Amino acid sequence: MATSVVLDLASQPRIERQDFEELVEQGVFGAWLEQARAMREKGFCVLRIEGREFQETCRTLKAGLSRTLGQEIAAWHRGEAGPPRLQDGWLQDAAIRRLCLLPQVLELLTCLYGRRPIPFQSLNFAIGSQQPVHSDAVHFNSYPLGFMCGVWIALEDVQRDSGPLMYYPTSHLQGYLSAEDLRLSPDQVKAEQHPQRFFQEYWHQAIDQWNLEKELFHPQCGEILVWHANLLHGGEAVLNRGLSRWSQVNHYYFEDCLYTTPIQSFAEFQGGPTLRNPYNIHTRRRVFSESQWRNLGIQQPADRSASSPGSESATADYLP
Amino acid sequence: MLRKLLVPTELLGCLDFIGPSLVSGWALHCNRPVQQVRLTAGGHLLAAAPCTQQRPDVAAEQGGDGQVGFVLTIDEQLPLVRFDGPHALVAFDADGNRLGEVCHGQGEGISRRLLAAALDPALRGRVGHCDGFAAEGACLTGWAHQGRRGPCGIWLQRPGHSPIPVACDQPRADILRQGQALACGFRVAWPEPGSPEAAGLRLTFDPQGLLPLPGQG
Repeated sequence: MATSVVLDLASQPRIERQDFEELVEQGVFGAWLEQARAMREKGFCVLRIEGREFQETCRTLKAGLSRTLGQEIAAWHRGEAGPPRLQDGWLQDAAIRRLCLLPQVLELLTCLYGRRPIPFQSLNFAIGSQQPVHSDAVHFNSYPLGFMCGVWIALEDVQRDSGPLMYYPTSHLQGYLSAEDLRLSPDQVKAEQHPQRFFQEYWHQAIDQWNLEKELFHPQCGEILVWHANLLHGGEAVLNRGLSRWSQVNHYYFEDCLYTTPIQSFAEFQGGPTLRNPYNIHTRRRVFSESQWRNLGIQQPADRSASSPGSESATADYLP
Repeated sequence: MLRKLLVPTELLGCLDFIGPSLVSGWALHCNRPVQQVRLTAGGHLLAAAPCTQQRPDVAAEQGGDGQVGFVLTIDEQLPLVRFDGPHALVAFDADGNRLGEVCHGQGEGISRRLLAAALDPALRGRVGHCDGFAAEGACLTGWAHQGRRGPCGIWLQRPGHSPIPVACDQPRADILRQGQALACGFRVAWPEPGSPEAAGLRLTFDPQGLLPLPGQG
């Protein structure tokens, strides 16, 4: 018999709490204090993984991905396709899964957020992604808000012209956005192939209005950047198509939350939020069992049964 | 053994106000200080607040230092979903021990019903207040809005009649959100207090008439 779920929808991530300074005085952040302050104030922090085991994992992973993405990489070099990427490669590749479960990263995230992290998605890149600036929090967020973050791992030294990761420090301090905030209807979002487009204007306005300055990440192999759910980030243009930019991005939720897709979350009269039951890469199961999911004790304001669990990819399962 | 069971361990308290954005009241335990109150639904924790505000009125009646009051905010960012019950406001001591439910004066059943009404996703984030009679009389004034979701209406409840919607769309320079004045004021024609026509009239956040606006006495 499945145990019942008790959600904590009241407490905030430690790095966002009003009593943050008291937590600092109490020594809650220990050796991770520098990272905690950076996450709170700038929206990102950096750490470094060293050791032969990590280097070996990188080598194995790049060799495997070179085979998996070989044709797409060749198409990119011929100028026939965009930069290739592999979503949820952890399902097949043990090395990718190992990088989702790096003990130092899990320890850091547990400390910064005050709850245990749940890795739920991996993305692997062979080439600079060239992604336009965006906040992950329109794709993934939680109740309570903010229990989500991204972890970017350099699998090689990143060259200047390879399209490095870029981000806007302090941009995470802007409010979270959802389809409801933009007064979007479900039909509008459904009709748009890339609904992130609706949010782009707001992000560019925020950059202008708040004079946010872009920074680039030129890490060495093993350097890791953790970003806040709402940090604006993207990929610079690849100036030298001959350069690779091997990297892995992991997305994490945290325990005892509800998980949501804000880009598909609407006003109450339009059906309310889209809730999701993500995979936990650690357990290889969904966060909530079928029975727990059915018995969460939560009713959507309107019928959302069009998107049923298990009908889409590993990272797109919604509460009916 | 019987003697031990008879040692008073009851939780005293009251939910004075229940609205879509906050719940307030007081809680007092005979032998263990109440540290925190938690709003729960079906066991899920939805909000929490310390129970340490000064309540001289309670101290005058019950004794003690009077640090027994609470004001619990219902976050407008809670998901817009309905939470199955039971809905409860539960008191805890400093060690996290459950001390009991804090109820409305009319008992546990009505408390749970009112808390469920306050958590209705359609009302999420609603705040408002009855300011009293306009200077020229005959009109009750006040304001209400739904936070980041913008303007909202309220309801005039008359005994034996259907509720009447009241628009909250008049300029109120004194009510600001993110630095902007809100058009959230209302004016309702109101009979003279104490007159037979005024008996039972109430303004509420909800059409069912369960959640009165504060400030109506």
